[in-house]
Amino acid sequence: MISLLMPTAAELPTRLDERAFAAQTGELRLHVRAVVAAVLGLGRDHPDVDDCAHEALRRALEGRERLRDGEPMRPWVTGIARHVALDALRARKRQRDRTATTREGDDSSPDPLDRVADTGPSAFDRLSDARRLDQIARALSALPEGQRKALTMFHMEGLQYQEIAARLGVPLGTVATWVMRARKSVAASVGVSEDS
Amino acid sequence: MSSDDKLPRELVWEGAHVSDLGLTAIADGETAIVEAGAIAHVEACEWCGGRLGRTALLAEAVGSGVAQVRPATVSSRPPARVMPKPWRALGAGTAVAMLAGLPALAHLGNFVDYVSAFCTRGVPVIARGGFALATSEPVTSALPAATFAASALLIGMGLMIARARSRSGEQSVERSAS
Repeated sequence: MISLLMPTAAELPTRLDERAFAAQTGELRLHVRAVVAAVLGLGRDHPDVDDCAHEALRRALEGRERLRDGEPMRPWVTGIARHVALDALRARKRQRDRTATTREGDDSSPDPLDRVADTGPSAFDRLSDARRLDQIARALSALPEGQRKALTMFHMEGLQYQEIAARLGVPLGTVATWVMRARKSVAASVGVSEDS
Repeated sequence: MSSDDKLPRELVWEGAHVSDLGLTAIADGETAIVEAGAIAHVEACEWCGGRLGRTALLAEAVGSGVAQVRPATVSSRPPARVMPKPWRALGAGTAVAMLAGLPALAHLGNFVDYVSAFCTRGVPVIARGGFALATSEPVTSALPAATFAASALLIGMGLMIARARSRSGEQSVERSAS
């Protein structure tokens, strides 16, 4: 009977992986809540933010097989959180539209969804657009050498700030400054701001 | 972890709130290099929390764009061709030339005679001819015009160089500003 409750050798690594993954996603809770709150335009304590953050972490946990080897988890989870939040926004907008048809003429409600441009491409989609790739490539080549190296080392090679600092022989603060400035320059060159 | 492994406090804080740089580091998952107080502040501060979300979204958007563009850039470029060093070919060519020149060594005396005759007779003739040409009427009358033309050419070249330098200077200023 006890043996039935014990995990098999094949199951054990999977469960351990699951636990480790769950611990990692749990560490991202602050990050996910911040992303969801930013997309929804709500405070982090809002129940909708809580629901979406929970849903995003659940989807990340269930879909962990899709995370490729060597792919950093944080941007991947950020993408899931953004999608979940956008889905929630669209659902709310559809619900609001349905309600509005039953109450025609009452357009005085200051619903923040009125300001949500969810039909247009998101910042992510705009950067994914093939026409933008050339712009990004040009923006990268126009960056000062240090900024370009730091940004590509972080996003392409998956190096941490300290590894980049060691490779380039510069202080940690310089790496952080380069990454931040390079990112803002590239984003500005394709017309994306932090408020997009 | 030593204090050198943390971001300097003056970079992480901006007044009472966490700076953009600090939020960038947190959004990038570099929490180990950010002092714990800054992370605790972001957890508690609604304004910094909102900025963290936007910073994380920007990091994700730019990161995915950069990740897409870089492999494409690399793959679209043909691999750099490494040219073989030419030293062996040069050595072989020199050896062949020396071998081919060996029979000519028998006539080395004739060559020396020719060179000495050229120096004693040919060079004075060429010098006299050059002097006569330089002092001839057509050349002397054309000298002032040639001087003016040379001056104009020098001024034109100077202007072109100055223009090219100012252009490259403007481009470097734009790059450093970006």
